[in-house]
Amino acid sequence: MTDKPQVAIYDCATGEATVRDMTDEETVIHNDRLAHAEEDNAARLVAEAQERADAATGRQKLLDLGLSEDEVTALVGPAPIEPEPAPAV
Amino acid sequence: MANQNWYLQSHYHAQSSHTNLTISNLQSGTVTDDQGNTTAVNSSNFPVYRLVCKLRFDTQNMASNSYFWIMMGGNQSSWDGSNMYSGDWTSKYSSQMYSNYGNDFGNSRPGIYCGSGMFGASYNYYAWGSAVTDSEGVTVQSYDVRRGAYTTIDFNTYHQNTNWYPGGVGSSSGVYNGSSASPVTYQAESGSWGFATGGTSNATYFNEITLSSSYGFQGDILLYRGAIQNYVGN
Repeated sequence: MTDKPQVAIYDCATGEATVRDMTDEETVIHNDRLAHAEEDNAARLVAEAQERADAATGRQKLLDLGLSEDEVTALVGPAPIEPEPAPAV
Repeated sequence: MANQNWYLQSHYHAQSSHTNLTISNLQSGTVTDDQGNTTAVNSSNFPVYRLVCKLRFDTQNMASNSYFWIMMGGNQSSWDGSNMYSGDWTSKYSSQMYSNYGNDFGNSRPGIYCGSGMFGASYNYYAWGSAVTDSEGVTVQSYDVRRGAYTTIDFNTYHQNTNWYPGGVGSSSGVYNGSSASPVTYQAESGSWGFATGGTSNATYFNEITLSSSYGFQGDILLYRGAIQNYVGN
């Protein structure tokens, strides 16, 4: 076996499986999908950060009006929390 | 036991790490009932597909640039109509009864994209516990593949006729690694995922199913076919 990603084909007609290295062409597609997934995720992180920022400023405006923390929480829920990434190991 | 309508068409065990698996020649072979009658396995007699997977992904970190695709129809398939998906980024709170969801229209998804939610169960590298010795005297480290967590995937879909492929529903489940020092209520990589699709007219007939993943996976992939009558003997 090599270090290349493994690709398997199971043939229902024969019941046999073939395992081979990923071809160069398939590797290009694989890397393209990785890049798209990265872009999707980056866009999501930006949108979520904006959502949290909006929630924080909105919450502060309610506090500035004189409402207590408990009252604001009762109205709009708890303050947004920064998501915690999986720790490095 | 009486004849039944479900048939286990394939069981592939990925012993080594794979990034792709194609199950081909889906419309082939025959089944035999208890009376000796044979029936061809094709999309007319067996229109229902049920894909059941128990997979462990080769990752120690739920990285952002991950993908897992299930492509009914191989690389040629696409899904139109309305695709509702509840991915990793929409299942933030375990206490939510109803998850948020996204919705696509048009041929915007060539496959069923599961995202990093699929990888949430891969916490085996977090070194839970210590090394143990198995029954044959072999030391098994806490990060060994044998002690990894698996994600289960269950996807059902239905091939109605040659004009319209109505789509299906699917879900996966896993667990978060639980390694956070503080309580976590906002965790994108929850390890759960759901999907429902309106179907497609672009792949009304297909002969293969392809699984494609950014990370290598090991485990079992079972494909069941459901028949319109009790064609399958015991």
